Amino acid sequence: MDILDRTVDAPRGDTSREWEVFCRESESEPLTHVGSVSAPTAAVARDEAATLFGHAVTALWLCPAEETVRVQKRDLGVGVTGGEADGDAAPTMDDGQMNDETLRGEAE
Amino acid sequence: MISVSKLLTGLDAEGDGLRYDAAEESTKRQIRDRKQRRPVVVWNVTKQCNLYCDHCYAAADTDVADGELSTAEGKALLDDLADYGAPVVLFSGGEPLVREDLEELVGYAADAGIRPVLSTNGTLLTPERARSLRDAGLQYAGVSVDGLPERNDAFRGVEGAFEGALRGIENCLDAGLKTGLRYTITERNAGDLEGVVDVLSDAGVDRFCFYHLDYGGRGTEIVDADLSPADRREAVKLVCDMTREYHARGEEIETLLVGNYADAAYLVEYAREQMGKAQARRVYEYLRVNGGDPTGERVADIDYQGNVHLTQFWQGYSLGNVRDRSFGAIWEDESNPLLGALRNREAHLTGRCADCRYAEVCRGASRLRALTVEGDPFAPDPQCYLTDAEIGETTPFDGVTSD
Repeated sequence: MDILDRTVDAPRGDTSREWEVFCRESESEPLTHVGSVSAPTAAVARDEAATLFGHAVTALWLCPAEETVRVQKRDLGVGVTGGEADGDAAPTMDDGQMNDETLRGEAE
Repeated sequence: MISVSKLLTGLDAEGDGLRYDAAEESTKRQIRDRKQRRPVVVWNVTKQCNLYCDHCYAAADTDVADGELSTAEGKALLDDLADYGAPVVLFSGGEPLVREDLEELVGYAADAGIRPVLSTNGTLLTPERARSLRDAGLQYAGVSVDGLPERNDAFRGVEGAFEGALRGIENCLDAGLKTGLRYTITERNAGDLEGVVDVLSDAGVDRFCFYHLDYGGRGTEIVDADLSPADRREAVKLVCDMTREYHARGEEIETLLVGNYADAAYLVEYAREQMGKAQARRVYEYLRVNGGDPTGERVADIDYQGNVHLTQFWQGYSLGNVRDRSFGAIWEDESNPLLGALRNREAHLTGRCADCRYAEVCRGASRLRALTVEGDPFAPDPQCYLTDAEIGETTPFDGVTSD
């Protein structure tokens, strides 16, 4: 039996908080996850979700992404605790290297 | 993305297979079959950037953001995209060249059968990086320049950025890498457009993409600097006239317009007025196949944290995250009422879009601009510059109807 042994705990949302959005299209239907919105507060997130989904739903639930526990079978890599490559990070330049390597038209 | 050079001069270029189902009539390498129906995927591999542009849709800065997809995750994502049949992955940012594994990821995409292309500010394209990207299999580098030196540098927040980008372009061309311009037209830089094309064509660039400002990221902060609809019309006419003039003197530049499908209708009207009804009809047929604004259908975006967006500009809403679910599963899930409505938007568009005779070649243009300005993703695009007379008749041509 497959086990839900992968916890996805990588952050999502950087310049603003991320809010997971769930909607119900009619009262007899279950809540469905329909993605997430970026917003600084719950009130703004609610307004944004209502703007996007208000035409089609009878209910919206929102949950801060960082408060959402995700366990699953799928494993894309280091965003997942328990994955094979756990601990790796994207290799990027630091400030000094970026500055040194930026071309500005000066002679070689 | 609308190829002005294809529609007005008949220029044969790579990419026409994706845009017009025109692979069979082309002598250039084309993407065909199942992949034509999959979206081009923009992947913002990082949020970090060495410049600070006023209009950056990704709100990039010099800091490394938390949660960027690692090299291993990036390769898993590329496998996922290859399985789904994505034809093209556009490596973007931030500035993608700050990632030191960019060549590794480009090579991995190429080996997986996805055409790797690049969107960059050009200022990190040293001769060594240009050659290593070419060797990895990169097929195209689009370099952003937004004006002549003074204006570009002010826009990009770093003195010398224009000259740096020009050197990056020259390094790519020296390496034998196809290279083009990306230019976002605003009120501030519309006057520089011809001058930039002259400078870069002299340098050997022959592909020029002109973007309309979309209202995402820091772009929302400079909406007031966007062109008025009348000035936008003039800018698009300039691109059309300039393209024909270059071709008339034997310089076969490729020119494209991106980000406002009112341009599709305008091109038909332009062709009708300048080139006659038969040419206008041909233009319309190509644009009908092209299918209008691609949001949520023929273009997709995955940000540096794996969030999937409807376009690269629409970063404030995510359909899901590839760490949770495969890209294909997210993209095909039309139980999402917004995705479903966007793909059936003819039933939802309101105002002047609802009865527009160019609806099938435009499809309401930018839904993000409508959302940002009107608070309604199905309101008319505030940057539609077509007149009521142009959109008001019943069909553009007798006998031309949608299938």
